[in-house]
Amino acid sequence: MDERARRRLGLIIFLLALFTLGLVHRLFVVQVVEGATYAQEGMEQRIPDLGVRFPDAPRGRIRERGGLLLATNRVRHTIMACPSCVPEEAVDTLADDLSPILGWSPGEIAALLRGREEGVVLVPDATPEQVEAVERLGSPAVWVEDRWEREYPQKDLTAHVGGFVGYGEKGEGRVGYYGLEGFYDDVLRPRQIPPVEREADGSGTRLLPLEEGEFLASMPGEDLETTIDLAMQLAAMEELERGVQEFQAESGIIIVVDPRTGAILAMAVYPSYDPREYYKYAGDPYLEDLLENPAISLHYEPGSVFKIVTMAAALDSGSVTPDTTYVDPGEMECGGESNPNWDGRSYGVQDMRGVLVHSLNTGVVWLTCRVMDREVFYSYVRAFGFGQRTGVDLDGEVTGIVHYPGDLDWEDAFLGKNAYGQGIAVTPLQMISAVAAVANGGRLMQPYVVERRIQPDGSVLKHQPVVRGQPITPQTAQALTEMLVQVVEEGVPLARVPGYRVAGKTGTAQIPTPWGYDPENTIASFAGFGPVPDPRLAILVRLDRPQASRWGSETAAVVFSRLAARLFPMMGIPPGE
Amino acid sequence: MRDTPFWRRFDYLLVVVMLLLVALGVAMVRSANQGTPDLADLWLRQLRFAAAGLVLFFVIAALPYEWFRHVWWAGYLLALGSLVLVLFIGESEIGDVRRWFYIGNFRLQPSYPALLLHIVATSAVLDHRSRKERRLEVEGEESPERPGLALYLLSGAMATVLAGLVFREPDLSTAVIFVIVWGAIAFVSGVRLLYLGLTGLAGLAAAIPLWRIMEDYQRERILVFLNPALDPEKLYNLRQALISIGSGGLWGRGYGIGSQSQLHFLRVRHTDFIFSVVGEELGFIGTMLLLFLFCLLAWRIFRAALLARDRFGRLLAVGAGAVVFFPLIVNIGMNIGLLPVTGLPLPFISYGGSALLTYMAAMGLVEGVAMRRKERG
Repeated sequence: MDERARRRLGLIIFLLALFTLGLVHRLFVVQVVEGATYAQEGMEQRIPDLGVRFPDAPRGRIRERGGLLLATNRVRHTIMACPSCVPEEAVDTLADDLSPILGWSPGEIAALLRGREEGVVLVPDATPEQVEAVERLGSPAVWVEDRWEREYPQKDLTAHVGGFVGYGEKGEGRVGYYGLEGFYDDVLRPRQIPPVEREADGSGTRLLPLEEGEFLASMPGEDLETTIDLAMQLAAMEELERGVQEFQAESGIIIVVDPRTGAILAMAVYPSYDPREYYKYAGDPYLEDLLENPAISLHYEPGSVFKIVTMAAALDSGSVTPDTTYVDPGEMECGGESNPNWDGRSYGVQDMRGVLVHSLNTGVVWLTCRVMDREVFYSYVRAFGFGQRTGVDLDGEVTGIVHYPGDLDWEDAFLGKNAYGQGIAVTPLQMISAVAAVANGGRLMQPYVVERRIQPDGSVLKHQPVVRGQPITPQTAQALTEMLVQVVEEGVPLARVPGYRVAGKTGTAQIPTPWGYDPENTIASFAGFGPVPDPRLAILVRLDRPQASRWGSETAAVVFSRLAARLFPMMGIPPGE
Repeated sequence: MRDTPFWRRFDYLLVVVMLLLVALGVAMVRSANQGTPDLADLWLRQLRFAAAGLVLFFVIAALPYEWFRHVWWAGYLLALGSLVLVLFIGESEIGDVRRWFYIGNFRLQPSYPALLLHIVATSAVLDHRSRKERRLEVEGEESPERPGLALYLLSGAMATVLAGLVFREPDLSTAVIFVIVWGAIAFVSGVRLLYLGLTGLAGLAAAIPLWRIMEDYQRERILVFLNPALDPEKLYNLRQALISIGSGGLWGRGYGIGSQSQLHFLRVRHTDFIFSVVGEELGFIGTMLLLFLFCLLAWRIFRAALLARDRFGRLLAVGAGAVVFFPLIVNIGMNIGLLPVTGLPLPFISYGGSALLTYMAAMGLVEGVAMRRKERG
């Protein structure tokens, strides 16, 4: 064949070969050298963009009203070692290398490395410097494990609202217990994205069937923004602690709610605990009770505070007006049991204002036992939400106990005792919700803590206030409010808040025991709201077994006054005349 | 010296490599479309085209290729007629494009068989001899003469007419194949480099009026090539192709489970971007295997050209090589972001009946040349 054709074919072959080499080089770069980068880029566009992290996403955070963190997460680095992976001749070298990192003597480390375990913890919570040093060491027998650790920046301040995160009993990993962590566990928990859901096409509809566990993708949980106002919570906790100490009480609770919405602005429980150290309490029969939130999980007999409910029922049902009078005999029989006044004295002719101002047991027993139909009274008790959960979004709420006429364990004496809040068990939150309903023109709101749920994609679920009912008319509420203002003005001077009109009622409740009521101790409480006529706060103060004075009017009322005097200005409500 | 029977010289490797490529293609078409109900059975159609193509391969290889020299003009007229006809009765789903005949449920793209006829015609014209020259050749020596200016211009004019008709469909990239095939055959036929150089300059000069009559999308493609940021959609396709190929890594994501392909981030997977499916699912190993098969194929084609009994045979082989390797280069170059986005499929691999039949028939031509090669030594 002619040389020219051979030459020219050769040139074509040469160019093709050159191009092929170029292709091989380019493919090597794209696929082998930079392959991982492209794979990552592809993965990111295929995982629906919800802020997905690898390999694990954190639990949702909890914030107070102003955005400060109540619960958050940090990465905890644990330095692990595999002693059985270290050959004998390498032990001493590795021990020498690890010694400056761990701050242990080489001998100690060598002894540990001669063990047979496959994984031992060297440093449970390592510093970034230690982590870097271990990674620089590059030994296959020593490594760092990262995991999310729940943090509670407010420590014991909001423990009972927040709850804590522990390890599930069935090996299901981290589980939230009590409070928000318990109630919203499903929402807060990072979501494992099942393999079939992990990768989606651009429209998000087509899914790729992959083998189980091929990708360890998960989405962070939702963030919660709560109604808790940290400044108010702090004030409540301070006043509670001060009150507990001052009046030598065992424990105490303060709840602050916005009567218009049911938003819980503060919920202080004393004694509290550090949620990070929940494990010190769990398992101990006495300490374990401290983990429970007594504001919702434990009921008590509210005592005279409950007279607000009794009076509301009597007024609203038209049985009496504030001006209706009766003659106080000092004690009144009902269902075969005698109900004396708190001081055993008789106050003569009193109107309904006087019944509340002097907190006359005989007055309210007269109302339930003589004036009202029992069904009418209990229909109000029910309408104010007693004997039912309030529906608050905290874990562990109980219903309390209300005996209704016709129940198997009904005794006619209940009718009289219930009138002044004995023989009936309520939770503190039930009690303040009912009082807040009076403050709110008779509308009973469902208490709540989470204002907004913020989903990983940024979308927001906002709480809408829920009206649970209207147990009494606005007119009744207004009349009752005026009576309760008078109670503070005339009956409980220590509860007054200078510069503000506040309404409220004390309670000094006897504590039931299996052997009858405790003769020594009481639960002293005060439920109040203000400023009247446009109440913005309803506050319940409860002190358990105060020794300085057994009376709510001398203990809880003081705490109420101090707290309210701090909270009203915080809300921008200036003192008036 | 007795002639070895031609079947003894049959190039088995050429067939084997071709069939391996076709098999890989069918498999990749199946993977690329398994998630699209309407297209999930395309691989079966492709398999049937491959069977028909194999028959065509053997028929063409069996026919003495000298015969084609005598009927090239009929072939050329057939190509011309079909390309004119398609401008009148051609149809398409996409706008005012007349690129296909619909025959039953088969969609024939006449530019592909025309390419085959174009190879034969160009080779025949550039290898045209006077009676005297041919007599000399029969007596022994191959004529060292190169095609003269007249033959060169004639073949060029013929190619321009076909390319122009294809361009009118409009189908710029396929039109360019006509020109490239002609250029490759002319180059190897020994045409003076001066002519080829002048032709190149004339081509550049003609580019300006050509630019004017181009379709908007064709102009746009060139502009986008020069500046990819112009078209987000193209950029997207290119990016997805690159992500797919890169995601494959060394070993690939696995056949049928490439996320980019299976989740349709990769567009036109079974045709233009099938190389990216190979890259993602079979990895660097897969793309190297593909390139290796094409290198073997190139070797067999060049071997046929080098050993061809006569210049006509050599030119046929060169034309067949150009018709395969030009689109190959353009397609892979596009997939890895080196060359502009054109509609050229990956030969043997991409879905498309007309193209597959044409490529297999072209290999038939090569086989015909190879098995009738002159004795070595």
